[in-house]
Amino acid sequence: MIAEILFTMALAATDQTINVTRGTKLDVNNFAGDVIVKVWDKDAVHVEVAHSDREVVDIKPGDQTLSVRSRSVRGGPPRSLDYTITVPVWMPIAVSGTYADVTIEGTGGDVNVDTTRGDITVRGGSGFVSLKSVQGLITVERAKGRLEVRGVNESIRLADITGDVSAETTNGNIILDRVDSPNVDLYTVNGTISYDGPIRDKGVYRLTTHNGSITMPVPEKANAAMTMRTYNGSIRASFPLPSTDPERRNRRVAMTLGNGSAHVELESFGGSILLRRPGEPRPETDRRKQKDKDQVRLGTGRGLGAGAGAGIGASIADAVDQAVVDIDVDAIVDAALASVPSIDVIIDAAMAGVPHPVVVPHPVPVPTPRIKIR
Amino acid sequence: MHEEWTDRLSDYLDDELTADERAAVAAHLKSCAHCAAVAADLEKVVTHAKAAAPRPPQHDLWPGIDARIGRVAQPRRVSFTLPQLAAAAALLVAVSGGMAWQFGTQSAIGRSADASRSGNAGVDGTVAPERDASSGRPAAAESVNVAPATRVAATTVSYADAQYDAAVSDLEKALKNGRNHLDASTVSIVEHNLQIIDQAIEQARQALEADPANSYLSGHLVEARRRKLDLLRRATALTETD
Repeated sequence: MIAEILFTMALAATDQTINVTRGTKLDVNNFAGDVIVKVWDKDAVHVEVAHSDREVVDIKPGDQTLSVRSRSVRGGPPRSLDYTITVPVWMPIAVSGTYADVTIEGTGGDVNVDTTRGDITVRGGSGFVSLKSVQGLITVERAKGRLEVRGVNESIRLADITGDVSAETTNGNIILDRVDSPNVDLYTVNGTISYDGPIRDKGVYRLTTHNGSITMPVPEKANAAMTMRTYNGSIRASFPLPSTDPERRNRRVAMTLGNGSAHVELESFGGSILLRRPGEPRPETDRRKQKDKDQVRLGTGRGLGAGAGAGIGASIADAVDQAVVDIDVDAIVDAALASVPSIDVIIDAAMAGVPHPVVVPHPVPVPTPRIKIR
Repeated sequence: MHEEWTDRLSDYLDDELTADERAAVAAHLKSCAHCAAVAADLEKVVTHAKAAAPRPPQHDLWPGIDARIGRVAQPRRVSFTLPQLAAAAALLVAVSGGMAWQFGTQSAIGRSADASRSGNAGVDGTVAPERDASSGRPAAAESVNVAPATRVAATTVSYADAQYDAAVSDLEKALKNGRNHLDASTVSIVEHNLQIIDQAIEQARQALEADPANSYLSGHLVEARRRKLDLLRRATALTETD
């Protein structure tokens, strides 16, 4: 039986280089698995992917598009494949998938990524960068041009961005670092918004959340008409701010700095709005960075054990987020551990749902969700 | 007989004719009372259009429009002659002028009511003091300016917007019908996030009930409802592609 399994596991590999002319766009669709795109100085695309002999990878050059797709020779849902693709710096890139984690490094062209469940990481990119994921962290660094990011159930992190920025999610934070943009539009329903960057003359900055805080640096010499509104939160600043009644709901502060050429709107229904001077500490992101470090240290990130571990890590980190003074770390850890079932209970529960006790290993990871193909 | 001239009046007024053409039209206008009258009317239209104050919509029409976009079979192309456009523009000026006047009166009342509730208006570098609710004037002797307009100005939101409800209902049905094409965890994520938005909508509604004239709250409610439509639309699209 083992021999039979090994026979069916016979691995094939696609390792192909295709010359392309300037202006050709890369279009990749991967149902599940990683897509890693790197750049080189050749006018050619190199596609590398390991797969079993049950799958075929189709690489089709067209007039303006180089298409990369995989298919199962036996029909049925595609399997999980991990692509490593190397492209010219200038090449526009489009990647789509359902359970695809996408990482693009160093590209200088347009980028378009659309995945349902998967993280997206883009370093570089210029022109129009459009990224969408329903469930997955979206991270962009060193992009130039017009950036449009749409998440749903995860956070968005943007750093070292130059150009227009539009980012929205429903249940997650939006964290910006070192953004230089004349046009910023950020929206989340349940999450914190933290902006870091200058306020450009004639710029438009709209930061909106329903339930979460908003923080923004305000340079002393900014030229901006600022309007801040909150219904249940407060409006505070690390510098003298015109006095408001802290007890009154529905607070609104409007002020004009310099000649007021930029337009700044900060609105949080249920959270606070915090203004600070550039360079001052950002507690909201510092806590987040510490949380990330803790997750790495505890091994509570993604992968095996992430279910139980992430619960512990998130519980600890959330408790730390909400604590103000006198943090009893031991008590928090104990409470977090108590709220998570033991690994034995998790395994027992998982095994109870398996119809047959024998588990046949697959040659490559198969996406866990069941999908009906029409 | 005058059409060859009236057809060029729009370009003439926009200064888009060559020097020779412009001179010819100008010469004709001096000698033709009919065309000169049309030109004068067009100039009035331009002047009134520039002077007309912007007026935000009374209702958020997008949900209804969006719900019907998919049902439109073919776009219809309609063209008008210049005299028809001129007549329509004159009518538009008259109507919009009346509406602008009406809105100006209402918004002044709205601003007053909003200011009396929300208090702080903007001043250069400072925040305005609390207004005296009885007089509507600043309680202290500090100068008060009108704050910059918020994102959605003084829109009236109907709590039972039939078009919005119909659009949401249609999308929810489509999502329900297509949910078999999504895995359970993705459906769970979508539903969880719809609940988050619904909660935000409900909180905004309750706040607006307590403070109906609050332009921020009405704008916030409109925005939250739009986000729900966006998420429903996106989730429905997933059922078609996955």
